Amino acid sequence: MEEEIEVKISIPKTLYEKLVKEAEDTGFKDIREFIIYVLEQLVETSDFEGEVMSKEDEEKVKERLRALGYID
Amino acid sequence: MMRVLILGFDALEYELVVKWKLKQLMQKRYGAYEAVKSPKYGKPHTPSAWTTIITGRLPEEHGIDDWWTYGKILDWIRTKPPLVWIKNKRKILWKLGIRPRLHSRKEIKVKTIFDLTPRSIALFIPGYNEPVEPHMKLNEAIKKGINEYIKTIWEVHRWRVNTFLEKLNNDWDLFMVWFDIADLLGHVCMVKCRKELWKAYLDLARLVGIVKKKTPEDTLIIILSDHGMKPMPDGTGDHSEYGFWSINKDLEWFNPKKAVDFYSLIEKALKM
Ligand SMILES: [Zn+2]
Repeated sequence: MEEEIEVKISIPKTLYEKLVKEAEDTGFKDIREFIIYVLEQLVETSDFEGEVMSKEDEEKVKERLRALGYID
Repeated sequence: MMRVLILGFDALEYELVVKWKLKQLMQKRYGAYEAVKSPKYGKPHTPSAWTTIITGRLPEEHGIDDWWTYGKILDWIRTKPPLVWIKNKRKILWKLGIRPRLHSRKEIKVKTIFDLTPRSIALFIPGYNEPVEPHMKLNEAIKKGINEYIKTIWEVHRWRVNTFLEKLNNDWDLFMVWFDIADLLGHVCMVKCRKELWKAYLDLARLVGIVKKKTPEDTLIIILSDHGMKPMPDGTGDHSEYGFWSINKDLEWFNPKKAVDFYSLIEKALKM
């Protein structure tokens, strides 16, 4: 396992409480594991680089949904 | 008798669950299985796929192969000349006052898992008892643009979650519920707005956590999708050829390979 360093940061209490609950419900061992997970996703995966959807993209989505019988 | 809870997460994609390391969705044992193809669409399609899961029969046998129906006769005439040549049939029929309705259990030609026990609850199941209102709402929302559509998908999802958690308190031996968020957002966001899709997956994982707290330990929880979601060259997402499954117990015999396998696996679990 990679070496870890200890970082001390303060976060708002309500946020902390939310994160504790979220970590538990989503199946993470503890808040530490959950925070590392979210930050890793944010920094390391390209899945988080949001593209802006153009009008053309919107039309393609509508075409797809129409072809599957979701919308008229 | 073992209680069985089936969380139907439409289009939950195996590859994404693994990539995003969502242990809560993977549970104790998980895998992928071959999704059933819709004869009409030539690829996995939601209503026929779920009906196969709850009946153990192929679409040709169970009789459901689309969301909407105008009734047997009109459905049949629509596929034959000269009506088949006419475009925008739905709009024309709508103007004539002829409205389609969603398929329902009356049209399923065979037994379903809900016939296996008198204490069964089916909530929002496509092809079986899906309510029409979410479809109408989403249909209206997309006319106002993609952002309104995404907002409405989340609204519908929250409504489904709340309704489900209320019903979970009832007495049951078999409970199955269906959520469409991974499918709806998958079509929109598989390529262009993955973060939104990740949020949806995380929300489903959280739902599993909440459900686990609310159900007795001896309940078998099956998480199931009817097909996955794959990125398409046009920037949208489309149904992939395999579905996802997972269970919260170490049952070695639970090894679905095809969509038709679930019926007997659920039957076996209920008898345990
Ligand atoms: Zn589906």
